[in-house]
Amino acid sequence: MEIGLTHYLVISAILFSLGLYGIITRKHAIMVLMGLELVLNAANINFIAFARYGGMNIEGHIAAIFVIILAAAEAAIALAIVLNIYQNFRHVNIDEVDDLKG
Amino acid sequence: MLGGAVAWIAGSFNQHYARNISLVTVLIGFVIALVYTATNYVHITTSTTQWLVDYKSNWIPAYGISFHLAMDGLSLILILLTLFLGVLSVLISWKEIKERTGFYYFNLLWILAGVIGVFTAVDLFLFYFFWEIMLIPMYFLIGIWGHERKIYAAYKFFIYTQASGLLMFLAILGLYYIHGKTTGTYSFDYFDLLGTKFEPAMGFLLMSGFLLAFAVKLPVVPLHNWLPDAHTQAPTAGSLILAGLLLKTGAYGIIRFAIPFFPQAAHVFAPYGMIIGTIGILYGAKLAFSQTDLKRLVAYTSVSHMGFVMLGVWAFNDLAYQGVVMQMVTHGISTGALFILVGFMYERTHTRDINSFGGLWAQVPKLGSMMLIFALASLGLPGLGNFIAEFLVLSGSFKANMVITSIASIGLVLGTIYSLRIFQRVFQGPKLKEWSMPDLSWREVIVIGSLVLVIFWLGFYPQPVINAVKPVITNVLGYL
Amino acid sequence: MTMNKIITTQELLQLMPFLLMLAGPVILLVIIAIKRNHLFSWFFTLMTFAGVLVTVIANFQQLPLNIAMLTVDKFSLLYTGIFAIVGIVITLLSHNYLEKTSDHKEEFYLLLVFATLGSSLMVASNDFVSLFLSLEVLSVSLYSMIAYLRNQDRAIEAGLKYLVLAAMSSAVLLFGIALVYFETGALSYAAIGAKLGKTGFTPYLVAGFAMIIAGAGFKMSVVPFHWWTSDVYQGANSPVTSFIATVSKGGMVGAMIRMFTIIPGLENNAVVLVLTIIAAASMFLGNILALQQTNLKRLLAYSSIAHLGYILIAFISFGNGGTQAATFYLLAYFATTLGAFGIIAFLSTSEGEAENISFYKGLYWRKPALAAFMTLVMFSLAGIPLTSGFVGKFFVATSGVKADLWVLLFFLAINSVIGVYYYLRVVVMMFSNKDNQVETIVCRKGVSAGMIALVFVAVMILYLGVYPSGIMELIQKSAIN
Repeated sequence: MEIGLTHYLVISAILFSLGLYGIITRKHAIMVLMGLELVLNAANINFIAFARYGGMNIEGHIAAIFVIILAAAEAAIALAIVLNIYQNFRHVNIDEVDDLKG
Repeated sequence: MLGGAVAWIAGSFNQHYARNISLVTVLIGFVIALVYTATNYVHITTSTTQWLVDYKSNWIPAYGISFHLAMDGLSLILILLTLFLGVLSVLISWKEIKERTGFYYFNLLWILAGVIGVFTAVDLFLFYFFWEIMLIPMYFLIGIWGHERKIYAAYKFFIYTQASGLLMFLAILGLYYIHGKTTGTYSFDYFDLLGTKFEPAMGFLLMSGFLLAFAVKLPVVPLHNWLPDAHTQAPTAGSLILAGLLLKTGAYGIIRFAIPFFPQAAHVFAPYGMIIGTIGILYGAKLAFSQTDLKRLVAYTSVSHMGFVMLGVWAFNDLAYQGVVMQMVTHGISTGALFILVGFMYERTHTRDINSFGGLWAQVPKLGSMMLIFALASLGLPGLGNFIAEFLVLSGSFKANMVITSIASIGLVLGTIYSLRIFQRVFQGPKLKEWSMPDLSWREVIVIGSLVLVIFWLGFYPQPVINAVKPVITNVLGYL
Repeated sequence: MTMNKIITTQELLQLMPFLLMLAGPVILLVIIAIKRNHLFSWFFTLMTFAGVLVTVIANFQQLPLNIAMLTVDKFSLLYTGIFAIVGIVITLLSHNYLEKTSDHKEEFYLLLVFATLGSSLMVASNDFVSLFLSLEVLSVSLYSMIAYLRNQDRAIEAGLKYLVLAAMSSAVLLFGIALVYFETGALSYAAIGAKLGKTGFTPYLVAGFAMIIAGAGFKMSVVPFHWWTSDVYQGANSPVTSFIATVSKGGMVGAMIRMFTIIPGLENNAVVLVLTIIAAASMFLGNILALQQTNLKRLLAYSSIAHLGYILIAFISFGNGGTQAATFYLLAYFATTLGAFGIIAFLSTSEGEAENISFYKGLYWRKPALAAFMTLVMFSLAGIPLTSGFVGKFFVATSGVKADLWVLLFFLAINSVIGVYYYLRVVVMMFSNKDNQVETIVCRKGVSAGMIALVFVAVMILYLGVYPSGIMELIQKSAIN
């Protein structure tokens, strides 16, 4: 079977949904961050697949590279914040970090 | 108009000065306006053009907004009234307001400036601007220096007027837009916008926007709810300004804007307007009768009196219009005076409950006689200004609609009942309680005495007022 | 794209505002590494922003420059200039605040400048890649700014919440961009616009734009993407909150204006419908939720949702002077919001923020000048004449009238009344009597930097409210194309 655009799109859609699901349901902060990574990478797959099969140009690749860099930056900050949460709360269960309400 | 400018500029600098400065400022404004009227009297009454003074400068030209003030006979009369009551309101606050005087007088002068602005603005944006400007200080006046339920009253006042004001603003924008689309020039100027053509439905919709704002201010009966609270809770000067001036802006708005802009819609609405006015007369009188709080009672008489204005405005003839203007002026004087008198009594006794008074005549004859005069004025005794006004309104509207007018005249009878009731309950009958009440002081005599003079003058010789507004009335009726 | 091209001196000069914002924090970073000094960092940041402002003014009359996915034209320079001014005000406010609350103060400023850079670049972006990049520069700086006071539970929590939601919204935005890319084969606005002119809207494109709007809506905090707003507003410290409320939202509005000017996205009824619903929902929900708040920061958070709804009205009436109205409203809103959070920052102590409305009870009798200023701010938020908020609303309403958006305008009127109610509550609180008042406000005597900022903001509010023509002409001159 020839692997075509549709396959990539399906994969990316699955990844996107899984990521979203993870962000919403997981309690562990690190798991939530992993969900985020999945969502970002789903978009990345889209970009590259479109660039390849859409018979298009290099712009998709550029976008993907930038996204990878930014995802790394975001993860760095995110982990720093999670570390701080651990220091302050002694756990990283985000359901229990809920001082702010109203 | 000069007075307006003086009062405005002075008002903004006045923050930290005491009552003397505000008195002087308003007095200067009043004298200037008076001198202007005296020297130009012939010109005012005989000139064929409606506008006496016209001042225009650009403000936001990109949107067709200019700082455009103009004054005709109607504005002039109302400005005189404003400044006159302004002087009095400073005088009566002399002793009543003991704390935060600087801010108090600041607010007072801003209201006066706003009201004068409303009476002179002929750019709709500017008009709305002043319309809102006068609300804020009034809100503070009620909210800070008011009586026991001041916050509630201030809120109610503000929300009512603000909501209706915004609808008017939408209507102004609609007018602006339709005019701009048909003629190609976008402008907020009164003179540009006059004579804009609409589809009937649109015209009616826009007019309702304007009318709603004016009707809340006037107040017309289903929308009068804020008034008793605001009047009752406001300090005396606040009640005076509310009754004497702010209510007039509603009437002024209808005459100046609502009718000339939308003549067709106005014709459609006229009979309903008259009916609403009549309901206001009767309903206000009935409620006034059943009040035990003196201030509330006077407030409801305002509702009733303003019913006459509403009735006359929609009659569309000179007689009724002359009556309306007279009613605006005399109501300002007589109801203002009643509020002042009630304020004096409150100052002395710290109660406004009608049931706790009685038989005070022997103790305070001056206060009592003043009260009698204005109670009589309020019921429309010949020889006092209100009689002329109500008579003119009724005879004018009689031509327009006999049935409604006949019903409305019952209001006169009711007026007699409630007015006399005030006097009878407070000053006659058995003494229910001992009050240690000094009679009026020299300052209070000056205040009330000047009001008495004016009300008599208007009762015996109302011609100057009528002459001054005649050209305006002719003009307004010309749009119909 | 401009490849294989050496940048000329002229172009370099035109890029100066952005380069300064890049260089400034980098230099500061090095200096901090050598020696920490709060006052110096503070002053250095002020100078950076001042330099940006000067270069913006110097370049303002230049012809537009398209370079590396950025457009440096009057529009982006105007926004950059505004952001720089806001940056100065926030810097002025921060000094006192950080002195009181934080033990490590210097890095805050470089994050501030970086975030401002992100916002400015967003407005200058003419390509989805640069849009996304600058958005992330802004977001990543914001994460750390929100969680800056790292020993405060609330700040950390707000930071995490913002991070998770912001990252998710960026991902959604990215997905939308990918869909648009798939349909048009291009990422620059101009190419997409040209393509759209030929092919029209396909379902994919509509879906793509919907996702882009969702991502942007998150940054602008409009309903239904507003969940983070109140928590983050409350949790972050006041200077940061004022930054989120102004520069961050403004950058997104500016970016959207540019995007939809080049890509005629608003010619599609579905897109307009979505925006209309968002605007209406934002106004109502924001105002109604704000009614119930007793915390001033949360109140301002919900009110900001409503204000963005008002801006959307102007945005929907795009061609009818709507973009200018939106920009003006944004400016007016900036001044007002800075004022509100400025007061909070000014009155906050190391023990906590001055965020409870009851804190302001009787303020007028203790600090009349501050109370008068707060009253001015509240009136401006409520849109009462003489203040910038009124004129802003007027411009928005005018553009709405021209675009025949009567339903939305009617909503605007209703919501203004609701708004008046809760803004007045704050005012009433300040003017009510001071009985049973235990707290006393500790406030430094004399002129402080924060004071200067507040005076400046007050002057701006009044200036925009009384004489808006000058600024409006500037905005009109800076329109794209």
